[in-house]
Amino acid sequence: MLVQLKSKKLEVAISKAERPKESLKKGIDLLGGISKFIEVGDQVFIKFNLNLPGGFPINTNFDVLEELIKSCKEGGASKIYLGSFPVKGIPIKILSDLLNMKEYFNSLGAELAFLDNSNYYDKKEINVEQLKKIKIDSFTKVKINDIEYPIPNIILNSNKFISVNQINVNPLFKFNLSLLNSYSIIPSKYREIGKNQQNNSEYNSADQYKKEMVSNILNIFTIKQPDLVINDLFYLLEGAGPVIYKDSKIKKTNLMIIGEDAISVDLITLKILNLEIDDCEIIQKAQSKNISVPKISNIKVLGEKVEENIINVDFCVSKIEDIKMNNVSIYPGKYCSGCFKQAYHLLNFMKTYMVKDLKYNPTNTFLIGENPIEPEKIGNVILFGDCAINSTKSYKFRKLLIEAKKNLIGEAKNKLFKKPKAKKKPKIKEKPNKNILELPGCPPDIFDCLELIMNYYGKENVPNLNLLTKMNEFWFKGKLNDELKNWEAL
Amino acid sequence: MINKRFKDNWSKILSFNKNRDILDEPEKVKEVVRIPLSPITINPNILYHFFEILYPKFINDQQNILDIIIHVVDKKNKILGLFLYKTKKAGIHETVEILPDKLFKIKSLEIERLDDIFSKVQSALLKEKNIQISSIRIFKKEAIDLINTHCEKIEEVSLYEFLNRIMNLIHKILEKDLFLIYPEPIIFHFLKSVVKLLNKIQLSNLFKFIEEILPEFNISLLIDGNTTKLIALLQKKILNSGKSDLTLKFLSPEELGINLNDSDIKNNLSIIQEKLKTEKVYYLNQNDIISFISDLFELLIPITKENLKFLFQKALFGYRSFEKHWDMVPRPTIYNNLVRFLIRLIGFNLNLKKISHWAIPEVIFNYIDFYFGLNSKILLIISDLNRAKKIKGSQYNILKNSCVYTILLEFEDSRLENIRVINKEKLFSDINSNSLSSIRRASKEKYGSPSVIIILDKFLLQSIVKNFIFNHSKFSFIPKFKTLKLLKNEKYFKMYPEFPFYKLIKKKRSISLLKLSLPIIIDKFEF
Repeated sequence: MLVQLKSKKLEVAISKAERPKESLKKGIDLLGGISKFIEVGDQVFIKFNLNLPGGFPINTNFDVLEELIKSCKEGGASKIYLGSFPVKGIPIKILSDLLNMKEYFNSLGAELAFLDNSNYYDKKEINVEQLKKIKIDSFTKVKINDIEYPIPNIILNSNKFISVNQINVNPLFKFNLSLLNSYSIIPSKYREIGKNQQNNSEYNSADQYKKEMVSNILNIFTIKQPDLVINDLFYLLEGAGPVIYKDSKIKKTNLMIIGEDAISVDLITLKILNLEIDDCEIIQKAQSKNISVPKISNIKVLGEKVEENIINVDFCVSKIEDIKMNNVSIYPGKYCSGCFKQAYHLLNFMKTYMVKDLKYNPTNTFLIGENPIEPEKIGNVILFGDCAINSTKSYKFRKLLIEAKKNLIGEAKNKLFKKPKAKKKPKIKEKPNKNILELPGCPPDIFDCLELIMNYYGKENVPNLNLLTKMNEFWFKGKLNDELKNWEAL
Repeated sequence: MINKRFKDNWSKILSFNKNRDILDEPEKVKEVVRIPLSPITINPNILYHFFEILYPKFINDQQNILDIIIHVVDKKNKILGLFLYKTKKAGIHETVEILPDKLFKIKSLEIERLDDIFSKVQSALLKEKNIQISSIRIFKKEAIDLINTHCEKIEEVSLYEFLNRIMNLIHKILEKDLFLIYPEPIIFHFLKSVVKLLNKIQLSNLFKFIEEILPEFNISLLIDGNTTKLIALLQKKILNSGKSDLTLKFLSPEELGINLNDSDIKNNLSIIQEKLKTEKVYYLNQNDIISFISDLFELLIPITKENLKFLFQKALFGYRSFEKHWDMVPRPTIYNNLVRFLIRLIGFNLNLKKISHWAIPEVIFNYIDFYFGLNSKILLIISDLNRAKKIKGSQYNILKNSCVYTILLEFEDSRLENIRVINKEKLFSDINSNSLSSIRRASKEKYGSPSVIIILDKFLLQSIVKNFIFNHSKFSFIPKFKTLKLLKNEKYFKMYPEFPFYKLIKKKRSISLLKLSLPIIIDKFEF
């Protein structure tokens, strides 16, 4: 089933307009119009960003999707599907219901693809066996380098595959490349990187997590390459991302970068964002994986000139300790990209949605990675990840030194009988420190962490988190979420 | 050229201002004047203080002003009148001198910049009159015509009618650039930006809407200035005809025949309450009001999220400073420690002096950002179910008949960039549809897909304003719970698509909702 890498035209259009729809249209026209990409009767699959039940730019701009669907229809597409796998634990059905996507796409003459079969979860007439059969029929397992990836048949069987990628800053890869967008055509469970029986130090220093992730991204890319790639940086999310946090800002660039070859589109996007290939591990690794990475000079740029449109972007912090928060001191050790990514999201989440909670719990020490620095001030100690938990077992903060209670009766007797005072040193006792919150996992799961944080502090001390948890229940802890877990296990 | 009654009233004001210093007790002057352009009568000494405080703060803090009246014909300006106000104190207009029209010439305003005109006027006045001015105010003839129309029988119109008229006047003058001022004060820039942002929404319609959602009230305010005290009486009565009768009076303590003690605020308020027979009397500090209004005017439109957050925080901080920055009589039971203790025993911490001014805006804006997005289009539909009581059928049909306003709010990077009034007929054009998605579809065709549609009924708004703003500190929970119940009723408040926070409001019982949100609204610690 593996689709051979085709040689693609190294043409990339940079379009600029007043509105996103116009910019997209202009870009496609620069490449020769939609008929260059879509043939009459084609089944088209549009892969867009679908992450969380939030507003733009957490997910792709719906105005851009609308224009793209319109163009595909003009090109003669017989069937247009749109889809993506959201973040871990969230069924597509929940996102569709919350954002009203199914109805919306239908009104445009397209269809939302429930890649996780979540449209069947609440149907009583379908039992487990039938769901299992539906799942088997919906996926094809593709093996690359001894790893099996389940790819939705709807994508493999589509004549044309289009990637619409909203450019947001990303803590691991500086920004969301189109290659990263293609990665979420497989279920989140298969995107998880698990640590093998490997030494922590080796794993961390080699940053095995990132290596495995990059390798997986490229494997998926080779399975189904997009026929049209749209990097939408008309409104770019900078500061903190790729979801909306306190430090997130929108930068309006009016630009879209469109082309046939995903790597060329990403390379030009890199250039526009004032980055070098060395800044992007995915493209570096692609070269060593025999994926053709063209020289920038060989890419024909249509429309706007690169040099005239360079954008300086405020990227995400590259070190976890650079996240500045009230009442939280961060002590890093040696950590892998997996822990960095999760800690980045957790800390930004806390910074954005737990302002009052952090004020109520003033001294917090956040330790991450292997052998972190011993904190000076202790307060509440948060140990993030297995590495931090295991490597700090013998740290001083684990035990508290307490002066033993004075022997008041003995002292009184001594005074009464005027015994000479013996200069005794006060007795010091060691007690285990109970103000330690361990957030296990390699890397830990953010939603599990939030639950543990709430249990540790108590809901009366974290009112913001309490409200957030209640709200999250509508999309993270319902019956459909349990069904998704069962579906994943099938 | 200018309306005679306006002119006579203005002359009276100038005359008082000129002679004020030689009067023994100017505050005891029996004669009254009208606030310019309004039917509201006022003691000239109070008006003097208004000008003395507000003009330098919000318009110009330097002396001497020149008013220029021009007539634009074929892109050329003809000067119709020059009026020089020599002001000893900034803002206090005492005398007016009519200057010859040919003192200087102004080319087209499109060609000449205001700063150039100002320099030209300044040098002409220095040469001819040996006087320096600090500001010029240019009125186009159309502005004078509008002012004249506005001033017709102004003494006889009701306050409601006056407010309506003045909003129209301001809107027209600002929209068509009929009045110019140099140096341009922040307030003027702010108002012009507001008119521009409101697009086709008339200020008078906005006023009407706000007036409609206000409940009946009978309150008075004691505004404490550095040297003077001012009493304002505000009333709204709803007449049998359904129309509103508004009252606004400004009084000095001398006019009321009362003596106010500087140290006993509560007693002062009680005296005023007894004298004016009002339900409530509030004590406000003049400096606090001016500081808040200054901050409001300094907001650049489109307002950024950070600025709005700051203003919101400031307003909440003011609210929590009861008995520090403001006071009221009768003292609300909710502030009674014993009552609060009893309420706390049943699980509610309701200390309004500990309202979380720093955290509430953060929570609200962060959730709005997350769910609506940093760029969003919010379609706001204001309905009035009382209007469509007899209409039956689907929710869509009822909405179609009860809808009074449809407005699209466009945000970019959380800044309100644009407000559009949407044609109601076009929005509800899909006669076969029974769902809100058809509204989304109809809006999408012309204005882009809205991120969310919010339907709010006027009755709910009235209930919120009455129970949570006017009766904010009233110790009666039932009306407040009733309002929360309305909030959960789809007839009065609906959001489409249904975001988690809306689902939470709908799903939770009012008491649970209050228990969940109070720890966020009120700070935990009492110190």
